Amino acid sequence: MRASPPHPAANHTAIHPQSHTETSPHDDACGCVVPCDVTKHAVKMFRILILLIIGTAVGYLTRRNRLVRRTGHLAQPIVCALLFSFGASLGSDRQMVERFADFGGQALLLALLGIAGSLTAAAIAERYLFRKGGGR
Amino acid sequence: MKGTLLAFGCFAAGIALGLTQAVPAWLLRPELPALLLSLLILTVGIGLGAGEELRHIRTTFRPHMLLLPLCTIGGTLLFTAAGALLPGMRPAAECLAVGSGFGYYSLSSVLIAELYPATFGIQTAAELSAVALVANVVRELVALFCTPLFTRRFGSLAAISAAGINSMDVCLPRIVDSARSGSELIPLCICHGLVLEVSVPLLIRLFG
Repeated sequence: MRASPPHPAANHTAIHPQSHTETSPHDDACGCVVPCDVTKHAVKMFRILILLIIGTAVGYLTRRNRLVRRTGHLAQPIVCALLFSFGASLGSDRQMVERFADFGGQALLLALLGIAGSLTAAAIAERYLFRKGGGR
Repeated sequence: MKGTLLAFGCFAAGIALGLTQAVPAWLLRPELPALLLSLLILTVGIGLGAGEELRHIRTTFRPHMLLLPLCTIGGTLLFTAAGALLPGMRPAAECLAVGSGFGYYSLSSVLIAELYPATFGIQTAAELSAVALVANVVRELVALFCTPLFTRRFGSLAAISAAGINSMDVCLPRIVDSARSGSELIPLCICHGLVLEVSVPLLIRLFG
């Protein structure tokens, strides 16, 4: 499911989801209108978006609550915890550590390319699209 | 700024712990980041719904403001995809996924780690996730330090665009300070950031 180090066992289940392929052709027994596999896939695919929408709705409805307004402060510790666990699984993976220099170069290059692309597109837009109204 | 350094410090501390090969097993369980990510997305959503930005935008929004985030998306994706042509780079789809972070390092790297193993394999997804983290932190830092330069050389719209998602938080004060009539840019900065914030998960999903 994620950046866990390639434990042989984890790899095996990821590549050969045997139990899944054996049961899926005949598991209409649950009586769902939409096949369960499709529903599961859709939920997984849109999970992030669904959570985002639910969160926004909850935030909007409870915006007067003082506690809710402080949830923004929660994001930082969660991000730190995520990155810590992410770093731990990267660091314990020997292969990954050996190739770290390559990643750094690629990352730097992609960051600079992204910035250059944005600057170019926005400068062109400023000249041809945003000038018409006489500036804002 | 402080937040970025802290986040990067946690990442480095995690790597250091990993290198000692003494990581407790529960820390490596795949359920942990999946759960944390869901929590993070929920708090991002709640912050979005309860925050001032959404209401501010509702009163000041003009349709042409959407052009700027579209330019940011188009320019970033075009250039990062072109990066795949350089020697030693990753395939275009992977470059595009990294570019789709627009400086949102936390969400983009975690989303890639979470969503990509199914298509790219565990190893590639983990690598790509690390690349996305570093690339997007670099984007934020460059934008933070170079905003006045970008404003002077390329105009304030370019500075907003280069900041990516950070145009609505970390880089907002710098953008406003460096432009002549800076406070007029605030609605555009926020709209730009909001559109990109929503597009990050969608684009990353698209390239996976």
